[in-house]
Amino acid sequence: MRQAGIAAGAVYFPACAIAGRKALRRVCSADEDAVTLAVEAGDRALSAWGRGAGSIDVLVVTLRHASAAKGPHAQIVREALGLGEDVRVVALDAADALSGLTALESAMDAVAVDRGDTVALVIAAEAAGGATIQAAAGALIITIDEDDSAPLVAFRAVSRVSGLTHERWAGSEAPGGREPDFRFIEHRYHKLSETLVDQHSRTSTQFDELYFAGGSVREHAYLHRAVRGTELAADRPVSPASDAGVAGPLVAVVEAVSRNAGDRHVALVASGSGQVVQVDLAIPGYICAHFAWTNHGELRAPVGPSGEGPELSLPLESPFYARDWAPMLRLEAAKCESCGYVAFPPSQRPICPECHSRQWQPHLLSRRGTVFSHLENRFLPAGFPASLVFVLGELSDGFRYWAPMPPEVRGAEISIGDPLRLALRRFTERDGLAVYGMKFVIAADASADEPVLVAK
Amino acid sequence: MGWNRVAVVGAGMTPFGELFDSGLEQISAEAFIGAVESVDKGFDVNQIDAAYFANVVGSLQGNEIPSGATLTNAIGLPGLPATRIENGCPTGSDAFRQACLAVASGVSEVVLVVGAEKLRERSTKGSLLESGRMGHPILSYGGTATNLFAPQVIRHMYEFGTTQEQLAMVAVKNWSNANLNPKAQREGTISVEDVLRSPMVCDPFHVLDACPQSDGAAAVIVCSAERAHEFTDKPVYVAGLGLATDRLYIHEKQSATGWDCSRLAAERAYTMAGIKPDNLDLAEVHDCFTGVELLNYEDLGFCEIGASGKAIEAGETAIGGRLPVNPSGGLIAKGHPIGATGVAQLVELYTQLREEAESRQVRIRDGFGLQHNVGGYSVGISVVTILGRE
Repeated sequence: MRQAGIAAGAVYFPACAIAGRKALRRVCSADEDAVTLAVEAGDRALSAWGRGAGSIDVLVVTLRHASAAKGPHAQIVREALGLGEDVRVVALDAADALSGLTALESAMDAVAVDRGDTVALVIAAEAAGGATIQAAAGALIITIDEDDSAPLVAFRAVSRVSGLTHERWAGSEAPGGREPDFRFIEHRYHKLSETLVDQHSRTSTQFDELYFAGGSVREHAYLHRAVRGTELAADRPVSPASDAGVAGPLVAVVEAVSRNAGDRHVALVASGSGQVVQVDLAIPGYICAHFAWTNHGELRAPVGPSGEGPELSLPLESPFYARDWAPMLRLEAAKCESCGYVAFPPSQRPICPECHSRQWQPHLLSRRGTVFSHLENRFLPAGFPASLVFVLGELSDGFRYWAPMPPEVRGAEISIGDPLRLALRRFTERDGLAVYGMKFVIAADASADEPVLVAK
Repeated sequence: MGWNRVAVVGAGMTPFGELFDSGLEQISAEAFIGAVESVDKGFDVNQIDAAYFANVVGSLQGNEIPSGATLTNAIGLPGLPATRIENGCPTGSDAFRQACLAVASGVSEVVLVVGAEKLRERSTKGSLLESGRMGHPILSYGGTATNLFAPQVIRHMYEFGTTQEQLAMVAVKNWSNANLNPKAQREGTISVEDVLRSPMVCDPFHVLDACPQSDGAAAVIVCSAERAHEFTDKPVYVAGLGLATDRLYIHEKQSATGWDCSRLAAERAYTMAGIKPDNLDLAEVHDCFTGVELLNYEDLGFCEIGASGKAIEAGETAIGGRLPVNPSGGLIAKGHPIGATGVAQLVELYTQLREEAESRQVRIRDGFGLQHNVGGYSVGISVVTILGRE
């Protein structure tokens, strides 16, 4: 029987962090948000899978922003990833830590229900990093399990236990906020876990590992304490999945698979808003090749102005941005059919300067390159940071590209010849509307490959 | 040799600086009167057939959109045919080129060119940083003037070992020349250390590597070569004109350490004039930033590619050197009221070629001078003009 399964996956963690009570907490760079995190994770998942954006039929996305941002975010994610206009986009509310799991289940349902070879991409992005939640994004590819001899990661929700637990009992993180009443919270989680253990004991699967994807470090601690001494207990250190908020469940799947420990069964316990869900994952050992776990080596504090970003040369609601989405969000240039000259942006070069032809083919620019020239500009208009680094990069396909770097990078760090990559970042946000484009970032990890333009 | 169908017969300019007490019309009129009164045999303003008005920021930054009518009303000649030109930093010299074409076509015989700019009508920060909000919202993001010129200079320093000290020497030279120019904005002497100690604005330019914000106006009168001697026994002829556009975005440009439009415009002017760089007695080039003057030497054929750092160090472009560059003090020390700049360079060439430049006079041998501007949005334009005696 045809089952839906997880074929590939990836995670993205921002390279910025702030000091938490006990350890560094990952947070977005000043120009990152839930949209850019989602695109990073989605790009990496597509690369890990290796079949290109054109094969995706459904995009399920849940984004938790740090600000009250408006805008067609799910569509921006779709466009930036190169998914066709006809892709079905399911944008889910990122209300709590279970939203990531809901998104994954929705994607599995969408694939299982369709009679054709539907492929879904599901992404959960958590941008509200801070004292108890770390910023992160996870992305998974869901397909039909065609071949019994090469199964996918099978996913099965086993148990759900619900209990009405008001968030208010957990206190308020805001300064001067409400004190938490831990005892009631702990009592609730204890009762929840008793029921969970009871349900679990009625199945017969043995688990090799246990992952928690709780909404916060505190909830994870409660659950862990509650299941200690039961069959579900395992000696697990706190993993990155446990406090990645909305992205937690997807991060946990990638973490579990990419540990590369052979055929395994893994239990994933996800909690949020008073419901605790236990999920079984059956992981075939070979499949870790399609799962990309990446981590930045060097972490730094975010730098940037708070509040509104700079005014751009055109108002943010201008039709200009819609006209140039594909070029600005995913570097779609145009290649002359007669002589091969590559023009960018295509809308501003309707006639080839080499041969004067007017026939063009879409052509994606490379995202990897080295510094050809660079500068740090310390005198910028209102709304910009005190200084910004700009780079003229020489891309691996020979094309040159000019872009700023994120605000936390300083000019002294950059030299001609250094390797960089282009990544989607936010250029400004004003009155809830944001504009995204490509910036050069330091190429810390080698695992993010070139996106593949597949004919649609 | 040379095209020589048009002659310059009058030239004048206001001082450049912070002219808070004068508005656009007043400085335009002052430059105009200066040009009229400079005509050796006298000049009746009613002889003017047409005018070109070079002004840049009027429409880019303000509510006013100056037109040709702004000029004609300022100089008491409403009704006169007049066109306002805007083409970035080469606006003034491009307006001059248009005037020459009008005369050469035979449609007009005596044409006035006035370039005028009031950058100090706004706060320094306000006008400098406005340019950072123009152009493509993503590709020109934060694109202040330094972003447009610095990458090529940085690359030149990397490929040829040009140093910050050599850049600073351009500022030292031009400030020194400006001390001999009563119209120059800046006075005093600076050293290489002064430049390097001034705050860094944008790699590789310190504050003293950059030209100031300026007000000012300049004017010239041109006429057909056949009629030049009605006005003066020492006309200066337009030997060659060159104008070129460039590939626009920096990612499209083909030269990494210079600007193709400068090279092309210069080639066109040299060809039309029938001369080589060796024939030049002086040049007024576009030194919006010190490093740009050095790259200009190479684009304009004054020295080998990569050798401009050594050239400034050896004093080749000082007033007494092999080829004096910017004896007026250049944009850096004389000032850069954008629309007036190109016209003022022509005023300097006219004055020098007639050997009336007093303490900053260069030695005249072959009797040719070159002016050059480069700039505009994303540095897409260059104009080169060669004036000659004979």
